[in-house]
Amino acid sequence: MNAIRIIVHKEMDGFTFSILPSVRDFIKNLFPESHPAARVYIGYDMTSGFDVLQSGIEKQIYPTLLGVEKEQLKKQIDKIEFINYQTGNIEKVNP
Amino acid sequence: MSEFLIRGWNVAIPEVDIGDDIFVVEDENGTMKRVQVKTSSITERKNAYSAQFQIPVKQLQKISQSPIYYIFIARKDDVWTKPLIIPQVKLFDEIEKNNVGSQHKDYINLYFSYSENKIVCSSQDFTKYIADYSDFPIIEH
Repeated sequence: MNAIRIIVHKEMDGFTFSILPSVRDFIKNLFPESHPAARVYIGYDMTSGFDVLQSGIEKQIYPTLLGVEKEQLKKQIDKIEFINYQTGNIEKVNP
Repeated sequence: MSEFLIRGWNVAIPEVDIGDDIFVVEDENGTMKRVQVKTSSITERKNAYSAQFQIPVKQLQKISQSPIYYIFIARKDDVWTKPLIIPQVKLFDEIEKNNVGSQHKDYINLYFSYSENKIVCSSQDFTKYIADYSDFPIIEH
């Protein structure tokens, strides 16, 4: 099974999404044209009540962090987990 | 701290101990990196020596927009060893992928074995991290 784990860290004014170096290598092997990043940070106004994990943000996260569009990922990746180690929760499982 | 200053970075120490030992800042663009220094005394072995360090699991797992750099230094014969500089994500990857270290309660124990110019932890070669300042390039002022 091809699975990817995205680590989610909630900060006071935003979220950081990161992948480990081995995951970056894995993505590069599956999608040679991709340029996965180490992490992306999404900031928001603290009073906005914005919950990034409820908003379908993965459509923006995948191409930015993984360097691959969701539709391409679906063809080769069986599971994508967003893991928040602070809560111990797996926030989302896609695709 | 002095090494970072010599390389042209600015450094700051938190007034209150929050877990990070040093904030290292590139003044021009505001790039900030968090540094956690871990020290240990050594244990002599035959033709080698070892040192053990501990890292809180929760600290390792929290990868923020400004990840931590761990610096491991051991004290041998009244002299500090060359620093082992490892970014948080790489150490986390080694632990997850190669089972480096051992977890006991809320801590990961790392047992480094030093020989000649080589450092090994849980059979993984960490030599490339010796004095690895690649993420702290020299800044000309």
